[in-house]
Amino acid sequence: MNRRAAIKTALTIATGFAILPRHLRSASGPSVRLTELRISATEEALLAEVVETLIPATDTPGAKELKVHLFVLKMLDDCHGAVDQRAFEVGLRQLDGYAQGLMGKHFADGDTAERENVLTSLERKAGVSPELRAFNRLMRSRAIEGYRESEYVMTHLLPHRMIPAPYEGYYAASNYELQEVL
Amino acid sequence: MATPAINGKKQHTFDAIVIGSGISGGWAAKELTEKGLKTLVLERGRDVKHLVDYPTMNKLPYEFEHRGDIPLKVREANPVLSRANAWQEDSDHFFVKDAEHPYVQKKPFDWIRGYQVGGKSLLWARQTQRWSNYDFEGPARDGFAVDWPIRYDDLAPWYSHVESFAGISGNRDGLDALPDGEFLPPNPLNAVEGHFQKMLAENYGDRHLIAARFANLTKSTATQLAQGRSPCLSRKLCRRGCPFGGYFSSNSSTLPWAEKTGNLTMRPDSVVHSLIYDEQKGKATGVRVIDRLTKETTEYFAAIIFVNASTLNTSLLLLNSTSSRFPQGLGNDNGLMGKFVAFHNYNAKIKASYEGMQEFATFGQRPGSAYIPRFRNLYKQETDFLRGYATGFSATRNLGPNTSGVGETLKANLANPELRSWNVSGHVMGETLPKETNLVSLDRSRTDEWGMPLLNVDVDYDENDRKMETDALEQLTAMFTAAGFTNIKTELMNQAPGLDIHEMGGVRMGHDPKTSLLNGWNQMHAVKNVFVTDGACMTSTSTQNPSLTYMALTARAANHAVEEMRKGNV
Repeated sequence: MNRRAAIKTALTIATGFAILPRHLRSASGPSVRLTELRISATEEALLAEVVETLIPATDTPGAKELKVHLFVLKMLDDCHGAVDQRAFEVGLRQLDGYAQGLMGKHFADGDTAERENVLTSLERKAGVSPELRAFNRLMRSRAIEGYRESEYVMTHLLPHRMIPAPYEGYYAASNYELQEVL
Repeated sequence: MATPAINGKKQHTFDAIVIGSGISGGWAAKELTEKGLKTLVLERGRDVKHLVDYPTMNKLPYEFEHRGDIPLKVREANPVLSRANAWQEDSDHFFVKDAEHPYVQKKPFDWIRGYQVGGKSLLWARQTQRWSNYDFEGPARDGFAVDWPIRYDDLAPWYSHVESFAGISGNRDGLDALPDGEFLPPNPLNAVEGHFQKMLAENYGDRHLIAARFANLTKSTATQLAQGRSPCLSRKLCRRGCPFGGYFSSNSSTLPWAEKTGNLTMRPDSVVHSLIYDEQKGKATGVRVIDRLTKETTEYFAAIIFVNASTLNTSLLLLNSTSSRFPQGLGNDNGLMGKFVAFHNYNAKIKASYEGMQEFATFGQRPGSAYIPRFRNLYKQETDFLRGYATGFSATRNLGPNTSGVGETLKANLANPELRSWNVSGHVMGETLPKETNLVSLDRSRTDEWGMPLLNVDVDYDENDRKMETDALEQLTAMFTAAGFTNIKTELMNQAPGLDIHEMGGVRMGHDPKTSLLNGWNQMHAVKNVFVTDGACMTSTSTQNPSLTYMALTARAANHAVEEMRKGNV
């Protein structure tokens, strides 16, 4: 990050609290017990919006309702090292400033297309800090894991069968194409 | 050591003592109790009862806090254990943590252990391939180690005995390298494994791909139903303990069977310190036990003692069993105890893609895989290294979603997993040569919390292993190429010995008391009422997964011990 961007980010972080929507404001800590990650309730709320943008509610629940953001925090806290943890924290803190630079408003205030555009643009290298890229990579992989392995998805969308059936080694591949409604 | 006065020596006296309740100890317990011997089984770990003590057996993926992962801090605190694939969130409670039983790595050695009733039989990979005479005659033919005092014919009926009881799936393949046994229906191969099988048959006369023989019940015979074990339901969650008894473990099979005789006494939390030798009688009369939790010492007595403490712990225990007659360890007149340790070389791995057979996929899981028995140097010496290797092989076609994109597109993709293309992989299991320089010994300057000396482990690969790895990857690359596999990638894992969890030797069998510790009945040359039938007894390693052979050797030795006891010979 260059100096100008850094100052802009610092200002955003400093002022961000006052202008965030009420539901994102909180002075207390996160709602999941963390020992390594330093995440405020405000940052947790932002993360909830980020994972909801990644996997939104449609006719089925989205990532926020399924508390995927808490899973992301839990996994980052317990199963990653300090390098990932610091990058994740810094990246998460930079995100709102980055979003403002891109769309002129807070991430949480963007519409669906604007928010999606923020996440998509994080995949590009140009103008994105290493921490933001790392945040995006870690958030994406853990959020997708948390969503796919959530109780809801594993019972309603793609029911997990602990006892599938006898193994079939010559199963017609076309059977999978027919199984659009699993 | 100081021995507390023992109240009621009678209550501490049995016909037989078995040290260890893992895959071989369970068999000793079963055979001895069935023959009417009052048998005490000593297990250093906690009790694990079938069904009762499998806390994760029916948990769903989302019921695991970390979805199967072990937290990083726990991994970092357990550098050795963290290299074991089977150590996951659902099986964590069955593995020994690094700090729980320290040892000294003279050279890197990953000692993977399961201290509980049932031992590692809860966790094993369940492959059960018989040895052939190409294995038993190997040392004599190729001039390494010492000659095995037994041949295939000595063990064949005992292989049948344990296979029928445990329940082993497989085909009768009719191969010289891998004798057929008493098989339940095989685990099926899939389309690409079948293709590879055909390609090998067409391109190589002497290389075969078969369905590996596995200790999972493809069906239950009356023998397994009598044990309360129903068929494997292909959950592939064996390491948690099976609610159906679908795979063989001491917990699901031999130990409850022994208990039903009324002749079994199980004492968990019993760290055996040493065997007690009586010079007048010229035999071992019992064992000294340290309670794992209270650290109190107790003694138990029996006419015969089976040592099944697991390969390296058996050496540790016997080396620690000193007396004026045996200052170097029980039965260790020749000083070879702890030496000639060997293992299986799992360094060489290969993977590739396959563009064919797109019309086929697989459905469900299976506990098995395919297997390429040893072909190298089988009938005669043909390379510049001794012995050979077997290869585990499997083809998989995964179903997975496209995880790129954001928003509704991503969400729709996640709900619609797609078939990927076929991947194939092979892992090589190389025979290593037992050498006097590959050994374990006692570090008497340091003791663990039970006052036992720490074990020095000094085991390494050699030039023969390196040549064999190279050959295996060259040959498999050629075989993969002939089968039309593409994008072939080979890898040498550079893993430490021990991670194969096939450590063997230290108290080897042989004809001659000058060069071996045990005779052809797994009986100590110098102390005839002591039998060692776990991995420590192995004279050489072959390429086959060793557990089935431990089981057969144990059943054979136990029946011999009972006969000898009845004749008054021990």
